[in-house]
Amino acid sequence: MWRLGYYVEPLAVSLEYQGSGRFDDPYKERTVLYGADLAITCIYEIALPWKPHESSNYAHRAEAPDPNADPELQKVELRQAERDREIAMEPFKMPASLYDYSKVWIRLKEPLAVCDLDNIAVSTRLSRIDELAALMRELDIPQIDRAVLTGQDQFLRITQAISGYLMRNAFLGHEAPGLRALGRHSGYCYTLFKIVTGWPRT
Amino acid sequence: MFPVAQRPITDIIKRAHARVYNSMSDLEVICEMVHNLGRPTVARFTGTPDLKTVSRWTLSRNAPKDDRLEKIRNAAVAYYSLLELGMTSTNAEQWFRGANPTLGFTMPVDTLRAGNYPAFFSAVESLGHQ
Repeated sequence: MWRLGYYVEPLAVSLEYQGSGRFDDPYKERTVLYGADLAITCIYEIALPWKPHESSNYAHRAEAPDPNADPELQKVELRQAERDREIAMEPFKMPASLYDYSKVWIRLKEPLAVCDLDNIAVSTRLSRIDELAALMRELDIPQIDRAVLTGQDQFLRITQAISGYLMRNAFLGHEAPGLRALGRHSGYCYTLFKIVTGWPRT
Repeated sequence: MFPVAQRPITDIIKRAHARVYNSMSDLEVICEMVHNLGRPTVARFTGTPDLKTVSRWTLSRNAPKDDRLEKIRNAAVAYYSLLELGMTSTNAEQWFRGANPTLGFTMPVDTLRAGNYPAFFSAVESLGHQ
């Protein structure tokens, strides 16, 4: 597994900084660790804020200088227009150090059987759990599909409700140490649940 | 590099806030943000219809209204926070125009324009932790 985070000790994830992640504990009692078996998956998850929005080219907006402006103002407008062009022409880049300083490679001593949310049978059974079904009705979400599992906003309540349930309840006769779900761009992401005495024994 | 491991994101934002609100004049903040983010971005999040008005602010020919100035200051807090997280000036500027997953894949510049400061800064905070 690869893990890409911002800490010197990326496995030392504290509860203080959990809450907005896709599968964070909604009760904020347990920390989770996110990872993937491909570095590119991790990078995409972290680098998403630098994917240009379809409207980001508003930065190319320009105006002709005011012909009635005094020389000082005209000079400033021309200088700032040149700077605006520099900014607009710069291609979008992911922060260079995102990969170099943040990647962590871990290897499990033994395989872990996580809950596979990409399995339709699994997601269908989850949707029948009373508390999840009630939440889905409240949010008018008919099924737990890939759009829900990779989405944001209201979908975050569903994904966190799933992880919150799996952390505390056996599902299909198994107490899952974590789960697997599709990454937002490519590959699969893994979420490990921290148990009371530490990370799952491996 | 990302030295953020040594300091929680909330501390970083507090330091940036102190810098912007206690150590910089209105004119300094305006000029810095116009230079670092560009006039189109400043115009967009302040809801200013033309770039010339933004230019006049930088020369103190006129001044932005309080609500617009507040947005410029909040933009500066975010910008300096991003720099302290180890980003370059270009990274920080482009963050304002990225499709941000914390904001439902909308741009932080538009969240700031709407005056939704809690959401805007939650997007900054999300960079500081996993």
